[in-house]
Amino acid sequence: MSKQLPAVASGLCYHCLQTLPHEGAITHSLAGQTVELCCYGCQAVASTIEEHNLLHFYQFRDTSNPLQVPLLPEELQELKAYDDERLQEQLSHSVEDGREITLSVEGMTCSACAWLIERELEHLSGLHSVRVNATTERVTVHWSPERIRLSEILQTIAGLGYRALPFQAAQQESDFKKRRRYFVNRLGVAGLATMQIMMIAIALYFGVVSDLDDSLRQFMWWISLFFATPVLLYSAQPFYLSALRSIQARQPNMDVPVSLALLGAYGASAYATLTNQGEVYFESVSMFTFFLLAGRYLELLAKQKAMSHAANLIKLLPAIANRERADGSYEAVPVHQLTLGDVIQIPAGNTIPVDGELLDEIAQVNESLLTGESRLQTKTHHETMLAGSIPPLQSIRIRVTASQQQTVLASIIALQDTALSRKPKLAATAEALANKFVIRLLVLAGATFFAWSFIDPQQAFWITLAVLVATCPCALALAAPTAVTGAIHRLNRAGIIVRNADVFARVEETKTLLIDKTGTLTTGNFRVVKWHNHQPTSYSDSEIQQRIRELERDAVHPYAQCLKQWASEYAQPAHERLWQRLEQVHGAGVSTSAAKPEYCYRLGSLSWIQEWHPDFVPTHAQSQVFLANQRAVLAEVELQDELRPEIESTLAALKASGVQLVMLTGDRDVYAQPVANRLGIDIVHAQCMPADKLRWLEHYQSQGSVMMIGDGLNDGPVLAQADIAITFSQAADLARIAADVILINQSGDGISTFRTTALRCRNIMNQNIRWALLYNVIIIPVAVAGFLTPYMAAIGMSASSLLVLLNSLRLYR
Amino acid sequence: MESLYILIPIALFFVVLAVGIFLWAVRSDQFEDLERKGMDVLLDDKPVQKRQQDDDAG
Repeated sequence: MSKQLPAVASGLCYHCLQTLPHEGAITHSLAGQTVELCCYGCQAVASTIEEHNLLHFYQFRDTSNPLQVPLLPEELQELKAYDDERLQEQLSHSVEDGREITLSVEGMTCSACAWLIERELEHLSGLHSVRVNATTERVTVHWSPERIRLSEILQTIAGLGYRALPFQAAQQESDFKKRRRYFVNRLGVAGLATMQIMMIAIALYFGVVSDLDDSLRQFMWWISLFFATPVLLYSAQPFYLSALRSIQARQPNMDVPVSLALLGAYGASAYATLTNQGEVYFESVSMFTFFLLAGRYLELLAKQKAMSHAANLIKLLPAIANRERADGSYEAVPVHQLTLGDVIQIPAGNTIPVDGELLDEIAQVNESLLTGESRLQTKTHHETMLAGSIPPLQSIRIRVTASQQQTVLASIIALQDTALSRKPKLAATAEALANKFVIRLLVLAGATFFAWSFIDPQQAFWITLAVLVATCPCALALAAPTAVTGAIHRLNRAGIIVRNADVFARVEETKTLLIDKTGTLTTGNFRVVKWHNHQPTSYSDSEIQQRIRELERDAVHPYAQCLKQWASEYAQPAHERLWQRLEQVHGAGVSTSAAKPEYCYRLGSLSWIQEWHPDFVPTHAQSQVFLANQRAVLAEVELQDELRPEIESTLAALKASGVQLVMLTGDRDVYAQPVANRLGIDIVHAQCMPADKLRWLEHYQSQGSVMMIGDGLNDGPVLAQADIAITFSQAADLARIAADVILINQSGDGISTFRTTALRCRNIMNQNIRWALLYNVIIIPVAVAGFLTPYMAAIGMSASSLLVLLNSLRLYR
Repeated sequence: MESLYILIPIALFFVVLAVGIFLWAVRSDQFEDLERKGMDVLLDDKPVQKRQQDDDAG
């Protein structure tokens, strides 16, 4: 392995591509080159890769995304629990000479990662096969439990810096695989057969025909019939089934005319072939089937992508719990074996596996998975702890109150599943238009047949068929789906998932944009922008900062995190603690409990400080945090929300295009207003409860179409009712269920990307529909008059469909 | 022109064969991860001997 390894940008760790720490990087020799690494974890991984001759990884990996190397020794210990036979019974299934299990792998960023894992695992003996899927981030392992333990396999993957955990494939995921295969099979058959039919059709279309004797022409018809039959009877099945279902539901959709046209043209062509007279349309029907099928398939893939995000939630729940025995000791048991009333212990930083009631006096939990709210929630004795939340600070004990399938989290996931299977109402206007059109066409065809049976009974059938074929609403049927598919594909590449394609049609009419503040406009982090020392004569700035730092040493409020960091940048660390005991007052701040009043301090909200100093008025109206002792107020600090990247320019662009910007927030006006001013938002509705937000939404909806961007649980109802609902991928589940568009990329410019793409999609869709209608209007009189030879009818139909398709393809660029 | 009566059925045979291979490929999961397989050409550098040793050892 003497090849030169590619260099990475300076200041980044060679392995994980994260920024190197300030204190200095670890220098490491890799294949004779000196590289800089950020931590011992990365060094260990890099050494393993070199030792096992896997340096190819560095040559071919995708360096645009940094890796996450979260290697915690305790976690490696815990992997042993997966050797439990009962647990394996549940997670894996038995196959010939061994077992097979699906693992979900976190941290895979590219195909090179998949290759690395595969090669490394192949070194292990006792492992029969490894399949790594880079798209879904899953690894399927087939191993002999007698020869190698599952935990060893998991540890080997962990040794490369990835986190692998057993994954229970959701039922829906395997259904999706079946659906996907169903479409790929039909699409492939349609594609291969259509190519042959087109080849023969070219021969029949041009010149060659005149040289052809009758028997050769009929021979070619028979060949075409042979290839078209599987396309019509096998590949086109989805359309017939959908048409039948829609007729059963008494709401005929576009698939009804499509099926009629397909079967009609095919039947007539087959009849022509058998009787050796008339014309054949095999190439048109096959091509039409292929294009429509391709559209459906891409639509399915887009839905599936949203789906795998839902499935990744399930794996977030740990499969092992610590159950308390009667004697007070703990045993590790699989979560599915927990019964109601069991007492389990959850170590600090671990995910709570089931809903339960808190047995400790007080605990703080992070419920961001459920609510999107990153601030810690304080829970007291007997309150419910929800599965999926995390106690970051201390280990807690809970009594199980709901089994694995009945947790709030599971119900949310179930809700999302049903929401996902809802079929997107693909551009309903075009469909309705096409339906009306089809009924009129059938009437017209009937009239044509009737009229021609008087004029020239021999020609009546063929002229009627030409009318039907030439005016087949293929182009109209393709107009919307192809454009929508193109837009979905384009947005997918930009990290934007469109759950409901209807929204493309509504973007243009959007009058108002409603935006949530915390988590949407702002990241939820804070920074100090201004502070004021009220007693400069008695206390120096650094003395005040030192006090703030000490007071906040154990606090977990988001303000506290920011203040602690800010204060320690300026203040020298204290040699000894100023106060031994600190008291956290929920909703107010931190206080010391010293004997002498002059040593008694409070750091917290204005109203709490005013309990001591009723006459105090802050110098800056926006200051949120105050420091005081019992004699005087010492300082005030103003904190500001950190803005989401790129949100400023995005909102400015929206405003420039005439959209009214409105902020809806549960926060107080004093905090909302400065953010609104910075971003140029004209209207602010502060202190909104979810019901208030809904009322405001209705108010703005009466003026026009409304786009809503939010991320919290409390935004869920508003998102559900808004005309266009956008959320971020790390938002609360309820918000994600309600949203039409999910931005995977955390940056705010996804909103403008979505908007411009949707507008382009709408334009192209309109062009397509206009063209399809124009073509049909021109061709109908010609066909009815009997001037159209059926060849020209078929070419015309195919050409108009192709034109629509090519127009839509512009969206891919 | 007479040759077409032979050539087209031959082509027909190959297309049927291609469809068969395609369906087999779908059934054996070869279309599950398209991203991955493209990279394999570059990466595949299987240490055959090493694997052999491991198997002997195990």
